[in-house]
Amino acid sequence: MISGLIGKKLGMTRIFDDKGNVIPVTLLEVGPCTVVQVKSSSGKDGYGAVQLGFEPKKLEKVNKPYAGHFKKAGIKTAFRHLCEFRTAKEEALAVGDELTAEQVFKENTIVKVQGTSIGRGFAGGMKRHGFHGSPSSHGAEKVHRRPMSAGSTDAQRVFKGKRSPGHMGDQSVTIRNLKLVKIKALDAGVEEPEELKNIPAQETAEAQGAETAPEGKEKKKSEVAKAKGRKYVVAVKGAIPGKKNSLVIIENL
Amino acid sequence: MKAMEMFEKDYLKKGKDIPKFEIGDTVKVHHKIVEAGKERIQVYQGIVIRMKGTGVNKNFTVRKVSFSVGVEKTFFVHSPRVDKVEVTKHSKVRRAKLYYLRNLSGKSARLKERLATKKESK
Repeated sequence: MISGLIGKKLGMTRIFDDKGNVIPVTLLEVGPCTVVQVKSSSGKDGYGAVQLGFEPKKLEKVNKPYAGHFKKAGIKTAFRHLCEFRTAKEEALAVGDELTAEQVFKENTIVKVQGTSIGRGFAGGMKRHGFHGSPSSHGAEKVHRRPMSAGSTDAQRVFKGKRSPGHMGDQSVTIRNLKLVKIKALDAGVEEPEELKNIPAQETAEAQGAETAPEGKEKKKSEVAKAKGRKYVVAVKGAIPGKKNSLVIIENL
Repeated sequence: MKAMEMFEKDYLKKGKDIPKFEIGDTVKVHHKIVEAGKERIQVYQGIVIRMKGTGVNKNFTVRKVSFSVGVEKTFFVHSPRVDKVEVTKHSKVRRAKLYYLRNLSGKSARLKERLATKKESK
């Protein structure tokens, strides 16, 4: 199976485990993602990967190159975000397949999450690198938050990588070894998770063929359709870079 | 925001299990404590001086003076460790946060009692 999916940060909250301990969690809305392109190591791309699309958008709303890309894939909608995931083996996935969080992730596993950190603009040395600054009194004048010395006079230059003020944040940050605590379907009621578990079984039953009655078959089909494209909320223990509604990429480790 | 509320719903107490009290009430908090693998219930009594947060994060702080030392404990309303909250006394208070009690001691740190309203006595 593919290693990760695209999602959106919802915010932080806390949950209680069965012992009553508090777990701080970040909630992510993950999937559904649609396969837009499949690359294979034997094909012209030379490596195995799957390109996923997240958050559908009207085909007229994207520019021509993108519209062509989606048209080529034979997908009727465009996507706001595209992301590629490397795959080791030849995938059984085809263009147009929809992936949900439940198919890709499991509870109580370790994941990594990539997000964009909150931008802080042009920041000084104290904020950006944790410099201590100078005293506010005792004769200090106009130098309270300045970075001070940039090096010795012997070298007659400033060494590369000298920490100084500059742009801070708005960078891609990956956090590894986060525990995936919970997966829940967004439109699910109280009894829904059990129903979800049944669906893959029904699919296989359907594949087996003619044994099932036609009426039941239709019903199952609609249920499968319902499960398809379902939004899931994934709870990850700890903090995740970025603001609410920012794009995150979550991957199994 | 709706997605978050929907997610938190599983961790909220329902109906009668939700403790009901007001700011300024004297309460007995039945707190489950796990010690050496054993579970027991400890009763902590004091005045509710603060309520804060919404949903799962809703919490309250209970203040008491123990051996002339002020003690404050904060509990989550929906925590499974909070077994139940008994109200022993209602008080007449005019603000939502009773932080001023921290600066008072002895007779002046008391609150004027008020009788339970119809709703509360139910």
